[in-house]
Amino acid sequence: MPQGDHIELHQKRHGRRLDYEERKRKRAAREVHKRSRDARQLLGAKGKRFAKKRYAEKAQMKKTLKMHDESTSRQKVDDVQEGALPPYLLDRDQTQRAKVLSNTIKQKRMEKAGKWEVPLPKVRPVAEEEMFKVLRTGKRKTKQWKRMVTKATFVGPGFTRKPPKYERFIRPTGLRFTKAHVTHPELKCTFNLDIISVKKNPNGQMYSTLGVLTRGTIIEVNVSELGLVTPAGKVVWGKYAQVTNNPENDGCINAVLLV
Amino acid sequence: MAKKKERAVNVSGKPRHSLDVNRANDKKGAGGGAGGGGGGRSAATVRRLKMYKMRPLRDRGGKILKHDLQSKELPNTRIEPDRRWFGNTRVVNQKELEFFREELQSRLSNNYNVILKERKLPLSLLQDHQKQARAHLLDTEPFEHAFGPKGKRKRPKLMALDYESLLKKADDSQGAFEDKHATAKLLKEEEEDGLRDLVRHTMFEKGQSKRIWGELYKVIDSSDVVVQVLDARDPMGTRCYHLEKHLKENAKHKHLVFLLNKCDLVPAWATKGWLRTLSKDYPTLAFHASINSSFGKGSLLSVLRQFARLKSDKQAISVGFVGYPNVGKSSVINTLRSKSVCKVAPIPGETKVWQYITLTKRIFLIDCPGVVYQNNDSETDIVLKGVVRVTNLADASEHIGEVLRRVKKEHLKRAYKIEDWVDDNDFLVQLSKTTGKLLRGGEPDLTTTAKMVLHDWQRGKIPFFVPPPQQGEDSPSETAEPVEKSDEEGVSSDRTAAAMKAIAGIISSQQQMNVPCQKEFGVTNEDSEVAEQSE
Repeated sequence: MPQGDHIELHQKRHGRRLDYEERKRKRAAREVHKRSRDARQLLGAKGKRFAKKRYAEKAQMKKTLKMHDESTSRQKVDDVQEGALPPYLLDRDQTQRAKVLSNTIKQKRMEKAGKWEVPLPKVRPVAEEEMFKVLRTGKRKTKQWKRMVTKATFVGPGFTRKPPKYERFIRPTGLRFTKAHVTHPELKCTFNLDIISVKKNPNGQMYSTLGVLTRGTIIEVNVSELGLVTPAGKVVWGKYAQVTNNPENDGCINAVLLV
Repeated sequence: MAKKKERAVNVSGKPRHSLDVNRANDKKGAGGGAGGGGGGRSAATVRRLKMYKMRPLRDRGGKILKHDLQSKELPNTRIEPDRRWFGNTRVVNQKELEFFREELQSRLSNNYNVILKERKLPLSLLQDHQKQARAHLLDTEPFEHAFGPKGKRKRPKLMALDYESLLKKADDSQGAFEDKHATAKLLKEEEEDGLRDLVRHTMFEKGQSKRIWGELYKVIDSSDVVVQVLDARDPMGTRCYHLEKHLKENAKHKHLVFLLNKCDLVPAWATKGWLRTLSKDYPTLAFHASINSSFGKGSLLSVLRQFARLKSDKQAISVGFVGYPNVGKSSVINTLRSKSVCKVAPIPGETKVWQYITLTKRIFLIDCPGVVYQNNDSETDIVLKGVVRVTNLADASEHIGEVLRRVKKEHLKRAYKIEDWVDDNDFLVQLSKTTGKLLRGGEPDLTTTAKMVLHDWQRGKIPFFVPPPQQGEDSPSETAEPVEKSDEEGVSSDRTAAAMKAIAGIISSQQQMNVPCQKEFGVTNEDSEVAEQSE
């Protein structure tokens, strides 16, 4: 038998006092004065706790009243915080901390490397079968050691073909280029500049020495038309650019100047 | 155990086949001894000879398993980020730029100077771009003339103010255009007559086909030095100006040399005159192509050796011989080799494809079929230049009039024993009777006789030549000029300057050399001497 139920049990058996409602009303009316006296006279920690509780009650009261008021201005709905976790994940602090640390390091590395990245850091690879075509030579067409380059090429000034017995890689004259359409990424204008050399072909070093121009190739162009000058007062006439189209299909070379 | 056993290397030392590594590179080593010795082959030569035998590896069904430089494997195409991609690669100082401009200005005008490393020079900074000239709007119309209290702009500026002046301006421009293009005028005259020329036979387009010009561009692409062979009888007529323009614009690193072949068919003073005239444009040599009794072979070999020394950074140089058909390109190559390495014939079109000939270890020769650039030559001009084969002509007698006009009368008298004739038809009739070229019933065969005359013309039996232009006043300064150039270049100790100086020396010395000629030209020499004395 629970020990606190005797009052309710007595009220159930014999009823409540005849002036119960009146006494309750008067006690609720006097509650205001009691609360005011406590706010004035409570000392020390009791006062601090009382003030804190009263502040929370008043704030909640204001919010409740405001919620029921009609308002013409739009208000932002309280949304879920970014770091909020459901209750069943609240014990995963270690995992969260490690992930954040890893992401921070990755972000730093990315920012560090991306500063000197070319516009096309990775392009479609070209196999040797696609790059070269077998040329059959000789009286009976049995010698198969010559290869014709099927991509656009650049041969510098002063180029002369080798004697036929020593020439393995043949670069057709119809696929040779001397000029490129170079776009300045900041000025947003395009110039027709001479190519000085082929610096790097992403498909391999052999193609760089052969002067093959594919998409992503870094070429050196003659920028004397742009009128660039170094801070020391010297005239700039050579800069790198990267090929952005497929020259063997388009019939011209489009490139972006690396600045 | 599964590894394929490698074939045993030849250890006895005796070569078994021409591609064996033990075989000596030259004949001297082969004769040195049975056990080897002498000069062996280098590793590069051995690798190259193995490359010649390369074949694709196939399986039993014939499918290719492995072929060199034909794999389907994809390479890694990532470009590493690098700060050097975004910097300046070539800069030049202002003082250096000024120095380059002055030096280039003085040296480009000289025919005997060569720029060796053109890539490292900012050539585009030195040359001014003419097409980038901008319209200066403020010069033609200043700001205060258009706006403000002193504005003068009242009406737009038109090309013409009224209809009559516009019509007159149009007529003037049309007249200027017609004067500039004379052929259009000629065509108009022909149209007015109501007549049109017959379609020219395809044989008169010899040397102009796409295949022939493809061979020419292949030769030019493979040559370091281009020797244009000219006929000494008509140097300007057998000159290819389009080729010279192409080399000057698109291939400045190649050297062009004129070779005046068949100089034994013209008098010595004509050869020297042409040498002086043509040397103003390009280095020119006189030549007589014959295996046994040639002229100018030593000079040409010296010039080619100097060019090989000039290009000493390369392993070998190639010399291409280009020119009109039937000027003797293959004969020149046979003369240089002192034996018949190219097929020759006294008819045009014997050489059909390009041929590669080894002269020395460092000099290759390239023979080219004859090329003709399209110009306004008539059919007779084409025939008399020797472009077409005379045996294929349908009506050869219509070209004889020009022959009679170009050749002096005494030469024809001496050649054909005919005293006098009225016109070309009468000449052909008499010649056919003399030589017995008669048809049935005693009628003279004019076509056969005309072909015979044209053959004699092509092969030099009938002497003729185009005289060089008169330059009596300039000849002393011209002869002194090469000496001055060689003296100036003697100061510099550069090997390049030494080579070009040697070339200029050879050319100037050949100009002073005695040019041989046939005995028939003795009379002509006397005539020219009399003419010079009268002048």
